[in-house]
Amino acid sequence: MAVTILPPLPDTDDYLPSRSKHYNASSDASDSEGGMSLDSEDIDSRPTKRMKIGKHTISRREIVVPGEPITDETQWMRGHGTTTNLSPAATLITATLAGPITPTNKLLSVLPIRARYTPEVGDLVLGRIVSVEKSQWRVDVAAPLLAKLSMSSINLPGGALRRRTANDELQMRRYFQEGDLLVAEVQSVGSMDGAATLHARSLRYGKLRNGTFLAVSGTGGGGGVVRSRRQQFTINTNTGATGGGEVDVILGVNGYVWLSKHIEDSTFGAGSKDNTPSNSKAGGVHLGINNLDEAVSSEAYSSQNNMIEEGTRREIARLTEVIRALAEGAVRVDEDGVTRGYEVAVELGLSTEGATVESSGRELLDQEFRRRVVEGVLGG
Amino acid sequence: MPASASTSQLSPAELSYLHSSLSSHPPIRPDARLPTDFRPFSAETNVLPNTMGSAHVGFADGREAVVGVRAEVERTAQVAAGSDAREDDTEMGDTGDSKTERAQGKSSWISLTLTLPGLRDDDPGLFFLEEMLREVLVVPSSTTSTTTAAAAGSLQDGLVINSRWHWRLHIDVVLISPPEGSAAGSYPLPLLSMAIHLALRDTRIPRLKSEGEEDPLADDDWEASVHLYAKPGKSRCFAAGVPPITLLVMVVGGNVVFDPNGTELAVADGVFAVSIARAGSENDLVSILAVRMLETSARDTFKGVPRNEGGNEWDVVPGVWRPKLGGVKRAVLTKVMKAVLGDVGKEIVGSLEAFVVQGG
Repeated sequence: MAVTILPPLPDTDDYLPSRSKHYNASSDASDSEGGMSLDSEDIDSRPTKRMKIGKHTISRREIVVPGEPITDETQWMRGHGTTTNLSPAATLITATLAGPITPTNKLLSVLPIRARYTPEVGDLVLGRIVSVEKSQWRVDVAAPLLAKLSMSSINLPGGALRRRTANDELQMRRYFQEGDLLVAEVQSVGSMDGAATLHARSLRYGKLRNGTFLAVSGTGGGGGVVRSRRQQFTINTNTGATGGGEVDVILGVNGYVWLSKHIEDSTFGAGSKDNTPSNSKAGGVHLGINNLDEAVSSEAYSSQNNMIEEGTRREIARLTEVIRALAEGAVRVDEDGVTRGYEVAVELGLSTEGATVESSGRELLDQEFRRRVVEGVLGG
Repeated sequence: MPASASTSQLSPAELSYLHSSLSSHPPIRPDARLPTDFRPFSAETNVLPNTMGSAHVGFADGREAVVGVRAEVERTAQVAAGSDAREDDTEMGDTGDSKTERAQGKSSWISLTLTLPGLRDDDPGLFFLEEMLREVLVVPSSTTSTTTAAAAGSLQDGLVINSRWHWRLHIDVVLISPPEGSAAGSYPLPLLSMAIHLALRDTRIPRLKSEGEEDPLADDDWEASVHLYAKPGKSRCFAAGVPPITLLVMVVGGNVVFDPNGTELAVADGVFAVSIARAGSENDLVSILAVRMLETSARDTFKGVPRNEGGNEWDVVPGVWRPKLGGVKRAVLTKVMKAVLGDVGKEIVGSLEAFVVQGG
């Protein structure tokens, strides 16, 4: 059928997407906790429990809105997402974010339903160039403010120790132009405004090629990318219906995800293929600080894709939908989840359809299918 | 809020990847759909209490459209010279040509207002979209297929009450979309068109107690009201057939792709808005009412940087994105028309019909 018309979503006072509620209802409660973030665990396992805060009880699932008074009892301490500054005596705790109240012992905090990414030093992020300015780029990293990538924090072709010349400044669009995607690390965070400064002074950072981009929503109660797990990894997709070879996955902490064909290059370690040319002149030669300039040729900044087979493209599309299904199911994305979700998707795809090229992947749009992928990730 | 939230500019490497994926046979879409697959959406009708017909349609990406339809009675502007003669004719009981002439409505009796987030209400794109959705509703009956139904053929003709009064139809559409995300830059046309279609199918006009040339007096009984468009099993209606549906069709590398999302549109060789309607009373015949070409955003993109910089600037290097130049060939347009008139058009009309029969 070309078009599927679904019944409207039922009315719900639940802050989580209805799909996630659905799998909670159908699967074992203890199972469903597995993939949820630590913060939301206790909310999920006791959905009906009400807590007594101040004069009125609040359902753990109930959300507060900014400006809503939570309690004026002094036994509670204010946590993230709350303030006491609005009341003259500074006793009334008021919400400053929209989301469910999350008490931790006597600390009351509000976990936002949806929030932008808060940059922290050392985060691996994906960004998109928004503008080219004088000797710096502005990068969208899904943070409240645009991040800054200065000319001096990238490897310029011709050696790491080369002086930046006026000529380089004139040719800034040769390196990154508007719309380009790059992977970088947060070098510092502004003390006043929290704006991030990025650096890409490593061979594993740089321009992204040979793949496709997707964004899962930022931090908060919904989806997002799990912090402090492996963020760059390779999935073997030969098990899929079409046999796609290896696919590189980069999960940026900011919720941006890059899926690309794995380019074999023996010179560098795993996960560092993205800014290095496949036909590098330095191929096979041990890379050190002395011959860094050979690897960072102007090719590192080209946007030419390699030849990518149709099978790989199909499996990348399947992986994209798996990650999207996880994000919509309010599951945080990490390596295990993606790998397991992909396995479930392949299995379901093989069992439901005839696993022909024609049909592979089309079932991914099906709500039931997505639910089963999410269930498989949480339960398995 | 960064400015990038609304711009969905893709990098040349992404564009090149997308374009070659969509150009392969069969096309590989980024969300693993088949080329003729539409995004699933949820729909409900009769949601707004104070309207005569309403619909609520939502996509999985969080975009929702709410449509309300209201009708009011309005005095018909009299044509100074012609009106007398025309009235004389009807009073003489002439059932021939003058009768049909009297029943001609004006297309301006149907107004459509769109509210899109992030767009000023005087935005030219908004007017373009409004008019594109409205004009197919008011196609004169002669161009639609011949209908044997007793009711008037086209919508505006059905709105005539008598020579002095007519109904005026207001269609208000509100699009709600998340402030950012994958939906950014996506053309909301299919969503709006489906929502308007379902709202019009749901619309009912009060029955009039007055007859002939009397001033209109509406019946209080809502149960006695008449559907604007014919419902299965009901004989009385204002307009025959079903409201038209506008589809968004994209051409890329010789492939015809239906219902493209925002990222797919970024690499389109050509984008068409094709309005279709059911021809006659059977489901299996679809006719095209209007075709519009839309500007593809693939034109204003940066070109990719090849690995070897020495080459000629105009050399075609595989894997390097080049902005789209030129137009669309006639043969491609024919291909689009054939695809729409083929199974896809029938299936869409069929599934909407099935929804209306079940749930409406």
